[in-house]
Amino acid sequence: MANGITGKILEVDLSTGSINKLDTNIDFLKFFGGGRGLGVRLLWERVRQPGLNPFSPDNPLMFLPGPFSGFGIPSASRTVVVTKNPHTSPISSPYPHASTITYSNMGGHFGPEIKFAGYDAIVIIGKSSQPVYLKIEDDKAELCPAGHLWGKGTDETDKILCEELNNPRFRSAYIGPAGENGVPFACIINTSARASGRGGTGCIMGSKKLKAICIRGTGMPSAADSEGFRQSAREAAYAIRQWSGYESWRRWGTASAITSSSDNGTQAVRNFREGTFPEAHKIGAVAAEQRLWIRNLGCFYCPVACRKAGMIRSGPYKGLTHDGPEYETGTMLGANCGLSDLYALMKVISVVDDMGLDAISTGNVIGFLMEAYEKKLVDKKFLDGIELPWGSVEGMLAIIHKIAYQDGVGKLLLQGVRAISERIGGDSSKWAIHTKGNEFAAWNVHTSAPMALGYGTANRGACHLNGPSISGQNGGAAIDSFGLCRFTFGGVGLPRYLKLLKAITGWQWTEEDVSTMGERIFNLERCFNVREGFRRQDDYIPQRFHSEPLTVCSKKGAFIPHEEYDKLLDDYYRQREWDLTTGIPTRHKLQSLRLTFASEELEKLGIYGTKRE
Amino acid sequence: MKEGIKPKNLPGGDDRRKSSVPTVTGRRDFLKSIIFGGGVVVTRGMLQIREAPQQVVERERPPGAPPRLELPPGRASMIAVDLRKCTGCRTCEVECAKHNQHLYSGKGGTLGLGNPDKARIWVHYFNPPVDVPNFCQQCADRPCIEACPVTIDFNKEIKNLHLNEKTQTLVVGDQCISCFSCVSACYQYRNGSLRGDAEMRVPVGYCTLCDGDPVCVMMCPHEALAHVTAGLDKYYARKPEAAAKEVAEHWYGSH
Repeated sequence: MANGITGKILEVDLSTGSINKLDTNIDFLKFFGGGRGLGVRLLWERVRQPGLNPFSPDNPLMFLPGPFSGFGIPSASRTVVVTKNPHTSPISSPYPHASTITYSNMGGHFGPEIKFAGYDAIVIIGKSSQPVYLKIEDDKAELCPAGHLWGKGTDETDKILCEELNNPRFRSAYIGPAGENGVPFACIINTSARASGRGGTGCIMGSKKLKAICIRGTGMPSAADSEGFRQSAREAAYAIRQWSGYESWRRWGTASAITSSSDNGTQAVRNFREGTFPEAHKIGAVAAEQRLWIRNLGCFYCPVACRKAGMIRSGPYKGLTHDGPEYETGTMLGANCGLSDLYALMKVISVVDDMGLDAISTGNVIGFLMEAYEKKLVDKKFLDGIELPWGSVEGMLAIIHKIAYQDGVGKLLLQGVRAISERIGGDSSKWAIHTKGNEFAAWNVHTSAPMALGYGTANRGACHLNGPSISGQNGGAAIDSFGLCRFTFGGVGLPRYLKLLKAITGWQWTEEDVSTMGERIFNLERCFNVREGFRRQDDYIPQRFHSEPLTVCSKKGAFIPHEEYDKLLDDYYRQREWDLTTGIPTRHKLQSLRLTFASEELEKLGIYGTKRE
Repeated sequence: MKEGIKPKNLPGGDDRRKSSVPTVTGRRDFLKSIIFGGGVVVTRGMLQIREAPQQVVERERPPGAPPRLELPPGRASMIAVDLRKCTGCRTCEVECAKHNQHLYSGKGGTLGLGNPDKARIWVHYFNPPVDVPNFCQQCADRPCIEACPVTIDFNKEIKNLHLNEKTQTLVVGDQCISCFSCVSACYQYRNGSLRGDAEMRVPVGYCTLCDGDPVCVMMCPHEALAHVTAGLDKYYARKPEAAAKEVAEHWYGSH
């Protein structure tokens, strides 16, 4: 193992059953870091033709830790899953299967274990004819039959795997029935409900008939400067305990935002119609702490432990144990669906996690359907006998089941709000809350045009983590490439992480190097999407935000004038040095980021010269 | 696993609790609440007075860490865990490995970077969600030593697996025949924290309390570990599965 990296990538071909160890391209790491950056670079290399069907065996599914992964650093626990997205598509494209890249981040203990086992990444290609799970123990990797796991929810899968592996040192990631059944917003779950939630990573995994990956490693990457590492690691661990956000993150996790976001008018409420939920306090952190939470769960080496597990104490769901609520899961399945009963909300969250569905897209789809039901654009008959007024738990659970099992109307619903609105018509396209086909998340945008721009310009379709500023977007891409957690990043701070990077890898990077790397990653992702046919017209947001101002609470009247958004997008393209009309990165910009190979590819495909139809 | 190696002083030799679950009282009541099920009483032929750990290494402690435990002379000690507080973050694993890896592997010189596989403390994950740190709990009757078939000093009745006089923690002498009877005994009768190292052919994983100031206790961010005095006539080790089951029942009820 070289310093900080293992030098090997594990490639598994599920079609042939062959398992290979490839050499890691060190240059890729030097320019793209690891994680999300390495993922887009590998995706670009492996997906040579635009318009690849995401369900094709040639679509690689990749699990990527970062250079910090494997070391005891708060909190270097994250793994990014990268593949071609099964859920997004452009407004117009020469390719019927055009879609964006997908990069999805998950916590827990999976990423570090990949490095312990001796790999910088796991790349899955091909498709298995039978359900299998991949079992990796250091340099030994094998495909095991998973027929007995196929069809099981993620919770039961976790339990069976624990017993079957009979070794507490394994870390596992798996899919539920939604992924098995090809739901485009199915997710991957690891270690009791940590999700690689968005972007359909679970769908691709299911399409390959891969039920789980179980990994155990006994090694560890080396460090260029061991003593320097130990010192810097101790500094980082001590610094975060004195961070201003430490106590509140420890106590509340992200759930505190359920009420604060509502107070600010920035919460997704009733299909994004409003930004304030009058009953937010019933499903918020204080209520959860009083009525639900029992313990904290921590990801690898994290001193914060922001996840909470709880148990329902009374009512029809008494005895149910699950993680949450968090801001996204609690809002999208709660406020966005008009559900204010904490215990019922936890029941819904647990079913969504068990099915292996993205809680964000699912909550968005259900909220959309509830509005359509209210406006009588869909009725009980359309929904296969399901009644779906706002806040109906029975309705929600029934719809979730339809989606996860591709049952009846579920076949349409799993295609997402864009497809559903195209079918039901009326003015529903105005309140189908998505961009590029990916549903918006729990941060509502009436009050913030820049935040809306963040959704509009995210490379995996609407994404709440993209952020309103270019430097934030680039910075986020960089953090995602290091294997680090965004929540605790500020508690340690970039200067300390750079010291750690030097001690581990020997690379002497400045803050500017990191920002450039982030910009490079973002631009390559953009090139991938442009190659598929995405253009400026795909960077817009639903009409609701332009024409339906908030009516409730302190931010009453807030909305985003279309001209304001347009102007922001113009400024954005100018700053990023992308073509103002098309949104395509200029050759000059790509060259300055050492992405000449990408600009040459776009050139070759005639993208710079052609006018779109 | 050899049959019939059963520590002679053990009543029953199983893991069943002899006393009922003590109710969890206030947050301050750390010592009483952590040991679900209490210790099992062990009768000893001869009560040995143990020397307190003599060497204590001063370390820069993280903010909020408990102070080093000052022990009166002759007092045995161990690490105790509050299973309500453990988050499963495995900071303890990394820190233990950083401090002890060179001892574990027997290969000196390489500074430990914190490979959790080389830690003496391993956190076991369970579903329904309970995390149980598992480690050598300094059993008073040492079934591991009982099981060792190699005597290195017939006059003083010292086995190859014996106790360091100063720290009262395990030492593997250089006449180990790699039979791993000690490992079997720990696995069968206690918590299986003693492991066999296939490469080095000796037992590993026993806790040496880091020269009297355990790093896992110092670095645990969630106050789940404590360095405490140990009963001379008890053992606290229990199988992680049993501990997890009890905590799960306490938290989530039986289903």
